Amino acid sequence: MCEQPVSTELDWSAVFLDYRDALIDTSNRIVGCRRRAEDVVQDAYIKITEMTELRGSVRQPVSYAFQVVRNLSIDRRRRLQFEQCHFVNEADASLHEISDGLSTPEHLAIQGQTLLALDRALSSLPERTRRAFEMYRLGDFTQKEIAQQMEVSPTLVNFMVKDALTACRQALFNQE
Amino acid sequence: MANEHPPSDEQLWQEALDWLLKLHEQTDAEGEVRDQVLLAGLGNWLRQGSGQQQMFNQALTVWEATGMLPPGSMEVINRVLERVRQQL
Repeated sequence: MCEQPVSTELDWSAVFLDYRDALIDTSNRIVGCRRRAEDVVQDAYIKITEMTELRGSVRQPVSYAFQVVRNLSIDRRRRLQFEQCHFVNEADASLHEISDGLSTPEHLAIQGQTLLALDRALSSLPERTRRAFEMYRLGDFTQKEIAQQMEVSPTLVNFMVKDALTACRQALFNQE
Repeated sequence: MANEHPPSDEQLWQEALDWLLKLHEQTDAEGEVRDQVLLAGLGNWLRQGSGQQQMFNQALTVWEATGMLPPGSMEVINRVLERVRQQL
């Protein structure tokens, strides 16, 4: 596979066209529905173009496209499973409310500006914390693997991941 | 005796993160959470009140948003690239 070089003028539509079938297949393996997979890929395209217009260059764009498609697919499947387990089979009004909340456009519409704010929040963290978080969230390393690579305790990795998410929460919800 | 000191937002946030990370650890490559005990435990925690539900909702929102960030670390990029190559 050939990775396109870093460029701030990268043609994302060409990336998504070239890898469209593979991206849909990747998502389909997770969400189990080709039509839903196509929606995920479309959503990924929109999010990525919004994000990169604001942020600029992205290294390894094809990898990034697959990463976003995969994470979106997993999030959607987990959300669906979670709702089926807890919000559909159980007659619990309060939980139905949360289920509805999770599906609202406000919850799902993570815009480019928001992603940029998150990116800045993570950039403000100590390098080691950001790296631990990226390895965990984006690289699929376990906390134990990260601890081994960084030569720190798994407990410290857990704290770093939570610190990063808390910084992102502050950026997203404007919490002090 | 009624609890006169409900958990603070910060405490609920940390608990929500604990559940979220457990959920992530137990999600397989196909996006399935197979640990029914974990799901039941989370359901029980959410049922404790609206504060728990609000914090978990926030935690999910943050988590899902961060999944769309481009990695800054080459280590992460290489890992993603390796996985993509396996898929193609």
